[in-house]
Amino acid sequence: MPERGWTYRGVLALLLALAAALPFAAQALDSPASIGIATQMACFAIAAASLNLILGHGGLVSFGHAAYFGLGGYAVGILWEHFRLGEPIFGLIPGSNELLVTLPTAMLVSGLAAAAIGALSLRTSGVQFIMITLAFAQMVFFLFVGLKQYGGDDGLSVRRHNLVPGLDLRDPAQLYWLCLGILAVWLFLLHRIIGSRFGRVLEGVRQNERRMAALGVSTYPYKLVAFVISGVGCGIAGALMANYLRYVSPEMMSWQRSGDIMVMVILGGMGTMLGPVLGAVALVGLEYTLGGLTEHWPFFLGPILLLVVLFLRGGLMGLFGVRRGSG
Amino acid sequence: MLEVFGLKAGYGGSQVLHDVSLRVGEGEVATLLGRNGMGKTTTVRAVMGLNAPRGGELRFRGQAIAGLPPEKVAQLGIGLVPEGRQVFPTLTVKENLLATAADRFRRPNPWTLPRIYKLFPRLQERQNQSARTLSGGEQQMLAIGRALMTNPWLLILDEATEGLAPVIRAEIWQTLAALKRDGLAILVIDKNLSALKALADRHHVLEKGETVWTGSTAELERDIERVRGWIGV
Repeated sequence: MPERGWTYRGVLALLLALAAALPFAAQALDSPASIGIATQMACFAIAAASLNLILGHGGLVSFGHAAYFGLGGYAVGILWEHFRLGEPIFGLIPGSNELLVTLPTAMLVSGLAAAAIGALSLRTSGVQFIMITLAFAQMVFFLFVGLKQYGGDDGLSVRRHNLVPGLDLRDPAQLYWLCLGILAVWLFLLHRIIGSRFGRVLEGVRQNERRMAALGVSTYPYKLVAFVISGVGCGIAGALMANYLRYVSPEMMSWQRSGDIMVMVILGGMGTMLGPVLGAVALVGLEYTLGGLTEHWPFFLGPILLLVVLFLRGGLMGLFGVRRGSG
Repeated sequence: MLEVFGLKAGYGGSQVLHDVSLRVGEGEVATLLGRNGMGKTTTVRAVMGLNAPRGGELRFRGQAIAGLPPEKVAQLGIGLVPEGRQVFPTLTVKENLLATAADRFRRPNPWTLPRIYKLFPRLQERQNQSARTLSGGEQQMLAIGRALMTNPWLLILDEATEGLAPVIRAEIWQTLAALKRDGLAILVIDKNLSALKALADRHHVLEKGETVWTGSTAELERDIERVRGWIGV
């Protein structure tokens, strides 16, 4: 049980401390841009860890999780837009530029969308499930492309960062620390969920859903709750990303984005706590390093991904001897 | 407790069960005998709703259960110990026992972890190991414990002693006898006639998807030659 011992906890604390020290290193090395890259890594890590709950632990291949990522982003964007214009949404809901309002709104919106989409999609399984989650995500994507009021294809600018009491998100380091802190809290929550009876049932559903049913467990509500939690997580990631980019667009919910998040989970190691984080760091990192060398970087990313999947059972986490089920 | 009349079932285009009838009374141990491929496991799957029955009647505690999905059948109080044990390999022993545990009928003396550990002390020793590290016999004990933790009225065991060492087999037969003394109704599929004769009250023989012989243990003794012919032991 490598994920339960004190050494493991020590390693986690050390990793977190190192990650928190990154802005100082960036300053010392005169590379301020790396703080931004690390912020993106943290945001995607939240999204990937969330998808991992249903993909890695529940065996549910959702190919539409960018929809919740985008909805989280648009919650921030739309609330900002109405705050800027001073017009309430539908004449009812006032706009806001406070993260303590926009972030819970993003969680609520993405959670409701995941509940509706999940309730329908989870009546299917296998390839049909993959296709139907993709189809719903595409519907959301085209809905926002068509919403000219919110910029349509061009997206929405969020002129100023959200306000957080005690923090100044205009400072890249503080925004990064916020994202890192939320990532740490979210990983802890997911870890607790996975270790609970709920998480164990989910794991059983992945291994053999019929067997679970034959033991008297109605699996549908478990899958739906997990689906909603993972949607909420992607919403958080999207809201933070919108604060980093200060811009939201339908591109956030494109199917390629869904694929990216899925690749992060698989690359890092499905069903492990740090795998999706590692996957997010690796993919965003590769995108920047390869992207700096050639614009055809996906051409080189493909083989790398192929090699990892073929030779490292359990993804990059397999390098550290951590596999699914070992914690 | 469980009554099956004229059950028909199959997979896809092939019909496996043509006319299966069996009965397990309250507090009774009943057996389902027959050679491989005669429809024993298919009968269990049809009872559990894992295969939709194509005809006949299934009643459990007075309620028609034909066509119900497996989770509903299990929730009515049938605990299945499936063929090949099928524990959840990446879950620990304790997690396997707790994940599906339930006491839906508020039983006076429900099954709890300590009670299961008293029944199978080895499971307690191994409670934090993942189930895949257990021996076959231990996995079988875990599968039985897991089914008991759902507090069933009826326990169904499909080939529970197959491929186990004689010592472990004996332990499992003793456990089943203890469960019977507690008043649990049990349906057993097995090939070990001598152990079954000592344990069971009622026997059913399947031949090509039909119940061809039914009787008490005394009647089984009388008809032993014919029954041996059917089950090929």
